[in-house]
Amino acid sequence: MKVLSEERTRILFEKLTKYIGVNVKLLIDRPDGTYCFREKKDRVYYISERLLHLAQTVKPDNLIAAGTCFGKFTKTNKFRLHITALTYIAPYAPYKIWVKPSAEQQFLYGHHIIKSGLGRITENTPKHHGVVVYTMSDIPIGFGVASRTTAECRHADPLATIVFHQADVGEYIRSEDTLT
Amino acid sequence: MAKKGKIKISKVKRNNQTTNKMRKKGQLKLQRHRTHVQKQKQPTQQPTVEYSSESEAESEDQFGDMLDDEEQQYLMSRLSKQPTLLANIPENEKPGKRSRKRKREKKEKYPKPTAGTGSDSGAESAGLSDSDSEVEDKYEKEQAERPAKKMRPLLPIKTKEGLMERAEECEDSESEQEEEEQKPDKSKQTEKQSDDEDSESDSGMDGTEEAETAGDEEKVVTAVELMAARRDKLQHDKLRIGALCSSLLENPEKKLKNLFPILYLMEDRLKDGSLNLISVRKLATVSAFEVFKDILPEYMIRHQDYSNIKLKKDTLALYKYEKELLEFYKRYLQRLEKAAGVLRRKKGDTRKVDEHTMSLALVSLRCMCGLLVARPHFNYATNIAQSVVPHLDCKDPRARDTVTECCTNVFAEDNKGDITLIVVRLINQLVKRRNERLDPSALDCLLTLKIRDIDMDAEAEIKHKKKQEEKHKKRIVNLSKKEKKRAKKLKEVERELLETQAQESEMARRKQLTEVTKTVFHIYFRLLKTAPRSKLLAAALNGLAKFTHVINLEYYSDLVAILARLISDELIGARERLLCVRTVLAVLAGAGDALNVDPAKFHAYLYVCMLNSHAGRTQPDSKIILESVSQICARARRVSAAVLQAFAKRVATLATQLQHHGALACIALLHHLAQQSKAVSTLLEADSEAGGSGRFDPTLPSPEHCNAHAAGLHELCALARHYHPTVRAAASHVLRGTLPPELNKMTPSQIFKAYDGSEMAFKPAIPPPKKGDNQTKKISNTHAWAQQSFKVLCETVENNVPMVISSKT
Repeated sequence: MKVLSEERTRILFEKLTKYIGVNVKLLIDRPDGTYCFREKKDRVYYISERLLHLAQTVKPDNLIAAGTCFGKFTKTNKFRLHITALTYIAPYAPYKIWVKPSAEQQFLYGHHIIKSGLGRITENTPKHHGVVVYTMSDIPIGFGVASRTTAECRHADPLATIVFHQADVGEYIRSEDTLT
Repeated sequence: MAKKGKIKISKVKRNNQTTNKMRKKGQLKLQRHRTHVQKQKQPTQQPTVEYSSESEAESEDQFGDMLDDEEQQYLMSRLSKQPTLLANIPENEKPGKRSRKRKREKKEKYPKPTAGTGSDSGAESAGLSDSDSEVEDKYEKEQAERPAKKMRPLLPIKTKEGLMERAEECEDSESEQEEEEQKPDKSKQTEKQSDDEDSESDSGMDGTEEAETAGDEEKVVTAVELMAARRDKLQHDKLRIGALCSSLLENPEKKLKNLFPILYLMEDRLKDGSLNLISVRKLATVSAFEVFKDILPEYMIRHQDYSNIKLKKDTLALYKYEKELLEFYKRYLQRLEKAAGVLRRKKGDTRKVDEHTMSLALVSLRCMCGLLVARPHFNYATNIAQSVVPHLDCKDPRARDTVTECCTNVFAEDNKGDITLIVVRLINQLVKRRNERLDPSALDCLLTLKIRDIDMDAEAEIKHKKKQEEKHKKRIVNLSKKEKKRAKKLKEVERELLETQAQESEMARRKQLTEVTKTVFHIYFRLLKTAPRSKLLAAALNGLAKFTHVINLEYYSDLVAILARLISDELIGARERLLCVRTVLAVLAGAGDALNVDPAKFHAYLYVCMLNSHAGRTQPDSKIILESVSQICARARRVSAAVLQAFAKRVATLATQLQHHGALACIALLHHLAQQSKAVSTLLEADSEAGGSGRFDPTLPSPEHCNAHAAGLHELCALARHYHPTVRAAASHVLRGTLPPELNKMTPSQIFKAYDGSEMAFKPAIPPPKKGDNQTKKISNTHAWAQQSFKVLCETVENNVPMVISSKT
């Protein structure tokens, strides 16, 4: 478990800011203690400092993971969020999209969300901003990137893509082996 | 007639002056004073005096020479100190006393007796149009008839040659005196405040000179006489106007010329230069207004040039009549506009406007408004609107109210849409020009616009579709130039045909209304964008909230962006920001299914601000809050459950800190929320611990994350013990999942209004205290003693002290 380099910290926070805006600092300064990001094998883990101290007692070779995996750095040094981060990101997301029940399954199979599946959208959502996807009963089921602004959504073709798929809870089953 | 007479008078006058000059050649020094004396006499009278009684005039002139200004002043002051000096002399003989004013009075007087009722135009000028000699003859005769007593002795004056006895020609009629006496009338009248509407302003006479002389003559003239004189004049003019108007109404085609004297009476000054009575001007204005209201046709008069076409006699007559009518109408409107112009001051114009001119201006404005309402399709309606609408920004609230009412009436009665559009456009211009300096009440009239069933979206869609179809059509049918021209002409003819149809085509009306709507939103958006910090913001937001049903959804994102910026602007008042929230929520609730957006930011702001309203100073805000939450309730299915629960909890909390009408409305709203959403109704259940994780945090600013599902609505228990009986009943009803039937029918805002106790009207009425109850309570409330020993002590003291108090000590 090592501390992220300056470059990688910047990339990580840029990515997080895309989804939760200024609330990033709430992720770190929490009422139940300070949390931090650590890296192991290009994967970034979100872990409380208390737990981190305990984890350091384990020999690094034997330690597979500690904390929650937020995502991983690709070979081209880009950060990719994993669905495991959803629990922490969903409450802070300023922009949300609700999908109709009929379109939920499509999304959970890894497809983009099209206009006909759009149930509701936060007003003033900008283009290419990270959004959290909810079912109509307010359960977060993944995240994506808005491909249109709220205003544009209104006039979009029923088959036009509204949100690009990034991660969904279906991955817990589909790519169980790659998620850590 | 007026012109003719005037010329004559001036001619005679000039004649006099030239003859005088010739006679007095070499005595240039006298000139100034002489003219003074001359002017005082009736112009036509002058020559006779000259020729018939030469000596008399001579003597008058002589002493006139010798009396220079200083001496005059001295005499004046002496007289004022010692009125007994003049005790034996008739009062209007005071030397040097005669002012220019007097002359004016006389002049004014002059046309009166000759001016008969009805068609007096000829009568007056007839006497004057005679040749000079004739006039002279007449007056010579008159002069001869006059008795000798007309000569009155005056105070002697000292000259180089010694004492000089003087005498002056006497002014005969007492009516003149009366006229003169009107001057001080004014000052007294103000004290008296007579209830007669006309007499409220008789300042027609007042000018600077009059005011000066008024002081001198006040002593001699009684108020009763003044009033009588004024009343006589008013009565005379009233009769004249009345007769003119009624004869005109009997036969407008023939007697249209009667308008001329009426319009003449509206003038500032009469033709001989004297001031007109304000009351007369008002009377003339109002009478002409009534007349025009009766004789103007509903349709617009259009005139082409018929000069080279032969017409039937009748047609020609009608055409002529209409032309004249238009001409009179135009003049009338010009006069009204001029009079009403006083209300609007130019920048830097600091002249003081007196109350009477102001009231005349208000009357004129009212007449213009009345004409606009009565004949909105007649010619010059646009011009009237142009001169009336800027008064919306007048400093005088009466003028503003008048115009607002006028606009309201115009909007209400206009079923064609033209004039509405014109007025709205003018208001738009006004807003553009004045910007944030505009008075907030100026926009009130827009709220009364009848914008209904206009689907802006549909309009745009149809337009778009049409355009595409036309393109398509063009490609298919390639018309030749000739054919195109023909089609164009055909369209024009069709349009004209439509116009001639008596009934207004629905299409045209809708088109106009759409245009009106666009302009109105233009006004509001401009205010939102350019002057968000002015007082006008509230007016704009109110308007937007009112017309949400016709708002173009194209604007929605723009609107939300602006309002989102506004609610984060610290310089804007809390109330205005709440209005912003309400506007957005109202638009969303109105838009229905068309918009699937979640106004999270506005929800959060409303949630935070709700508790800022309480029973004290911020009570009025609670109305906006309740309306906003009702809007949320209206689209409850589109709002997430957590938010609804949070709002339900907050509404319950709010109920405890509002007055009873607010509390009742809150309870009703809570009930509606519970009915709309299952999540909220679980909050009301006694054993609802099914919320799961988390703990309710009321301090959190976000309604989504405050874990409202874990909260209980324990406020309702407190409300069940409220001081207001209806609140008690409602609270316990809601706990059982129902609402008292009398509240069930009303919306929260209606309840808020109905149970408002600020007017000291209580609902339900407070029952009178029962007699029996009171007594039993008193007994039960007697003092309880904690220590028996202390009680005994007190009683012994009380018993030992004599209870009879002697008043003698």
